[in-house]
Amino acid sequence: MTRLQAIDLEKTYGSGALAVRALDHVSLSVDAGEVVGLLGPSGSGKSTLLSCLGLLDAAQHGEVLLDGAPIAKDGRFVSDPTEVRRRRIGFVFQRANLVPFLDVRENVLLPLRLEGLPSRAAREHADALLKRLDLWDRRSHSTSALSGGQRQRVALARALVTRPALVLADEPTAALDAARGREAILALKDIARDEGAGVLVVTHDTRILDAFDRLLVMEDGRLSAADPKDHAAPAH
Amino acid sequence: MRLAIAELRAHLGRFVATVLGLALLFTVVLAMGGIHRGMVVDALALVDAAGDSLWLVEEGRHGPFAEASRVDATIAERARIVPGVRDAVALRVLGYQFEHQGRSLRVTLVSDRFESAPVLRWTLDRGRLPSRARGEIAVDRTLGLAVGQEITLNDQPLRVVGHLRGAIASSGDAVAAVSELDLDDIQRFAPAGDRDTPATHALAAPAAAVLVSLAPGADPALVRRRLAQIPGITAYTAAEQRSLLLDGAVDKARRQIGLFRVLLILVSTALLALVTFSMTAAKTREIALVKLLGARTRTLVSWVASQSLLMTLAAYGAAVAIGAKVFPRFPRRVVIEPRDLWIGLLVALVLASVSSVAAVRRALSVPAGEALAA
Ligand SMILES: Nc1ncnc2c1ncn2[C@@H]1O[C@H](COP(=O)(O)OP(=O)(O)O)[C@@H](O)[C@H]1O
Ligand SMILES: [Mg+2]
Repeated sequence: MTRLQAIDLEKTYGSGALAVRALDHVSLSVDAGEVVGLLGPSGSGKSTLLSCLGLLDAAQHGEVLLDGAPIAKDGRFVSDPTEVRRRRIGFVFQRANLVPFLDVRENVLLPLRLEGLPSRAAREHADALLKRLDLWDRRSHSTSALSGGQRQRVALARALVTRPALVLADEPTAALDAARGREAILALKDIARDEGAGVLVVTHDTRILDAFDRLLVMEDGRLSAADPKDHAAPAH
Repeated sequence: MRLAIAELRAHLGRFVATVLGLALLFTVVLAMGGIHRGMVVDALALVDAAGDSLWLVEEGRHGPFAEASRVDATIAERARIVPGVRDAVALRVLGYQFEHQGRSLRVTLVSDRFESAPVLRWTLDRGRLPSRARGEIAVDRTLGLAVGQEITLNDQPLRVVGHLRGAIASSGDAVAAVSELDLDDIQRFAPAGDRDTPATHALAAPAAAVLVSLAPGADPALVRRRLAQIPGITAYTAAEQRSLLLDGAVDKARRQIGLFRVLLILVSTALLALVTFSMTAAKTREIALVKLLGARTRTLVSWVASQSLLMTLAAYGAAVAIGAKVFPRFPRRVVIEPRDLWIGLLVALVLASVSSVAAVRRALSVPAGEALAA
């Protein structure tokens, strides 16, 4: 089942001689349970793509579909973008981006609370994620008491707690060492597969490429499929 | 709301400091209102004690409380025979200062017909009113003289037989009630130094005003027109006396106090706006995050505005509590009615909303994409 589909996205910043074509006829799809890595040099348009897929911005041309239904088309949002983000998309950032005055469990519950009072089933799902990500013992700790790996796992739980159709991650392992980075991606993959979420991960981290189901490469706003071997880390 | 409370808990020190600062400002605002209301009650105490009586004062004057007034004592006799008049009594008022047990006390002496039928409605706190033509005095309880004590005013020996409640002259001085004969004597021998207050003009005159009560069924307007024909006097209804008093010094004080209150409320608003805004600016990152996670506009507004609201309500509650403890010890009477507290609450709520406007605008203008930026 196709969770995310982007068709022929075009995004240009500025105009005239200063125009930058950040997305140039970009098409991609992510299936349920699939974890796709997105590589590319700095300035190639990866963040712009995430913004357009996450409805923070709208591509001037092209269409974004979630579970087969259009959510953005030709520069306009088809449905309320905040509602789509709140209910159907999970976000993971480079730094965990936790709310410092909420404890671990409340950080995970935050997306549910933005919707209203979480149901019993939703809270149980949150607790299951905490256990699965080895955070249960820390659930009432302050986030400042956590290690980098733990913080990023809290961020993963937060992204997954609404059972989103799509998870968008922007360099989620950049602040972690190789082992923690791999652990985080594998945990994300594990849960995404169980819950049928499509996952798109922007990364520079060549140490973890083998964990992805598929790789895409972005260059000058153009997207192409990549062979993991071309990007593998040089052996030490 | 959950976010707001969690954040306030995390910054408890700043929260408490802001609430305390606001609470003190609110306390002063409440105190000023209460003092004004106390002034009104004090100013009107004697007028109100006279009920619906008509007031005959010196022609062209507002007296006897708003300014000096003296009328001849024979006016009372002339008024008494006017049709529709039930009774007319000369009212003597004398500002008086004396030493008692090393303390200097100021009273406003007011005479009444205690030996027969008093015309003013005196409110007793304890003891009784003077009941004889001579030698007894009832003083307001705030004066500090005990019941049973003997005092001497201008060689007139007087015994304190009761405490009055709410008997305060418009000058703010405590009122003491004595018989007409005693006041006559005290007045006759009053030292020259006491003639500076308006009421001491009565010193040379037999009375400050004449109080006229109406016969049952008499038409007040008609009786008043008849009384006005007595030369040398002006007749006022009780309502006119009240508004004359309130239009004078009390009104000036009201405007001054009102101005101060408005200024203090503006200062409070600015303080709260500053605190709320800086708290909002300090959490730009978290705001961008919850926006990216899909927070509704109303979630953001409630996060920011409920903090300002919580601080305001906590401060207002503290101010009311502080006031309840402190106001009774003020030298001037502070009168706060439940209605004032509700209006104060309303003002506080408006203040809270106004002061969160800037912060809310700032929160709404944070771009969600900022959370994505590394
Ligand atoms: N808000 C913007 N305004 C103008 N140009 C932008 C803006 N955001 C990105 N760009 C440009 O678009 C191109 C793609 O940027 P970006 O998507 O951030 O790349 P990446 O995330 O791969 O580093 C770059 O040339 C960048 O300078
Ligand atoms: Mg980028």
